[in-house]
Amino acid sequence: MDYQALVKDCLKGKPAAQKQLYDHFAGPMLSVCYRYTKSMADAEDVLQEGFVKVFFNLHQFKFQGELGGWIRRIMVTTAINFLKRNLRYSIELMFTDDHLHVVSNESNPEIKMEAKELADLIRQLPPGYQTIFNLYAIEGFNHVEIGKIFGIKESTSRSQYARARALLIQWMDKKNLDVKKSAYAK
Amino acid sequence: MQNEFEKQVKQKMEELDFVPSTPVWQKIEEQIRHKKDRRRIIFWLPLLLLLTGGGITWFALNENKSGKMAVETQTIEPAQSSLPKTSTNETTGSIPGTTRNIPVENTPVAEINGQSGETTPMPSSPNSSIVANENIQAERVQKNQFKKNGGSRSRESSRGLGNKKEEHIIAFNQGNTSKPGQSISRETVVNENEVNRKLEPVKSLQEDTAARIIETVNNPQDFVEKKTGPVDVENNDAVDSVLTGTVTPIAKNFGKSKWKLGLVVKAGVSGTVEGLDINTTKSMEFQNAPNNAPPPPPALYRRSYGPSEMKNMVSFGAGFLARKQLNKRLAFVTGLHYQYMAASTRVGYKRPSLATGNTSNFQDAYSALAVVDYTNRFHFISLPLAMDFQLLKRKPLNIQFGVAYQQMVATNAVYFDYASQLYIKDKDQFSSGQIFTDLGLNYSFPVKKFPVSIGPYVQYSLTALDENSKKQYLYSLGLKTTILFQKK
Repeated sequence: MDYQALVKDCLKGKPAAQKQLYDHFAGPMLSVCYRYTKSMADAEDVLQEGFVKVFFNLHQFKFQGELGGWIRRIMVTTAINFLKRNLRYSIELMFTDDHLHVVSNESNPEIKMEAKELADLIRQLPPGYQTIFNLYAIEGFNHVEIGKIFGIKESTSRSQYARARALLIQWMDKKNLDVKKSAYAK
Repeated sequence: MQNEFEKQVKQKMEELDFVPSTPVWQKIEEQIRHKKDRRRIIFWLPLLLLLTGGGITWFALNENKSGKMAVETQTIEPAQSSLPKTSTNETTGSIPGTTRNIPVENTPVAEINGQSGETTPMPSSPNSSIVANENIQAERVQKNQFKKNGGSRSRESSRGLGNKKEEHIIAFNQGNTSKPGQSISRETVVNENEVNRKLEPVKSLQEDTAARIIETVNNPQDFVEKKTGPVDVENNDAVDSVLTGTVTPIAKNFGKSKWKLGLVVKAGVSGTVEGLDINTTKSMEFQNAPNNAPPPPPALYRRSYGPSEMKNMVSFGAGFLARKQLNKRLAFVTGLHYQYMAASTRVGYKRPSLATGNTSNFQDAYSALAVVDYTNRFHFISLPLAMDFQLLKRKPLNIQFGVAYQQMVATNAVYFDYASQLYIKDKDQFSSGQIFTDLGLNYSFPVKKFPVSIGPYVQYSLTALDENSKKQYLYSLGLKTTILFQKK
């Protein structure tokens, strides 16, 4: 797909081009939004808000990187703002500076489940853990950046992530065990 | 270096793909169209206000250029077949400033016999002369047709046949006599001390030795009018001119009009809107990573945490005003007001105070988590300069347009600092002097001593609120009430 021509047509305000851009990126971007929220409805709200920002800021995209990457960054920041605005999420984003028990990050279990299953597991984490896990493990933020986003210390971000990772691995192991049990049962 | 687990998670998540529901795109499309229209309006609104104001000012100043000292007079000739009629409760939009040429009878006094309709000539009084229509005579009254000009009087009541209810009175001027056949200008006949605008019914002329007939100036239906033009009955000066027997210009020399002082009170809502820079959003600034580049460096994401939306809050103002009438329909208004504006935003919890800028002043700071509402309050002293134009000739409906310089005297507003990701309370970050455009409509209620005007208003700032981002502009709209102090 010729992204340059597509973007130019979108900037001219052509509805067909805008729809085409949306259709091409909506699916993957919804997946991004899905990981940050607790429901598909919230994920679609974030997607909608994010794409509005995409169309209004499309003139800033100078083709120095991938269009998909640029749109993804918009979605992530939109999702973060959405979490902060909504009280049911923002309350649980109040990270404390208490020193949590340090959890080892050495285990690297093999992930055998489907993508959606894994995404659902991530979404089951508490919102604070969920967000930090998404930002660090998937989006590539470091703990300094995460600390600045949420106004917390780097050490707090690090320990929160460690807890989230450990919990996720624990659930994955349990799930794998359940799968094995059911397989044996058959 | 990421662990293997994180790599696996990332790879798995890239496989994830959903299909959004249909309404999502519809809502996106609606918002795109709506925002573009709104920004277009906001962009053109100040320009439109200035053009409208300039056009109205030019039109109003040129309107009475040649007729500033215009004099209006009217000549009314009595109808042959009409009688002076009584006035009941009618205010028929009389014709002040009119002159009436009324033929005078030989007999100075006439009376109408309420019973028979006959008139009996009365001896003339040396101190009075009678201005009467020849149709006062009963025979002519019986024969003549009364012209009704929207009036409710019946022929019978005018004649007084079998009816003692009303009898006609025509004003007379003591000391003025007229010769038969001589037309007397109405204005020379009427003595302001004698004229009674309301009809004074006389029970029976037979009981009175001298018939006194007073013609009200408010009852021109008896006469065929040769109007030279419409007369503003609300222009009291013109009416007074009739009473005094002189004709004065209806239009005043407004250049010598004095200033009128008054009070103004307004209340409504205020808030902020994004400015004319359509390249900005409220919170995002994105830069592109080069092709095949590693993940973007931290600096790019530092700004991804933006300020929350601002919500409208109550706004009010009060102060003094001074008004000077420039011409019949245009006035200049200025004054000094106190104006309060507010807008609400959501901030996080209070953080330790920060030193701002190069000073050692510590300012309150709040985290960027949007958990509590924070009201940004702005206190202004306003100096408005406006023109007030009366839209309709006969109705006191005015449009007011102008500008106002507003000096911020106090504020507790916070601004969002991208570097620290905090909301910081710092007055220096906001533009202290702001120019506002002002547009309003008002309707005046002519209360005797204190005329009151009331109507909606809208104010929009041409100066950005925050000096850094230049993105937010204050606005206010609501209802304004003005009370003028009239001299006794």
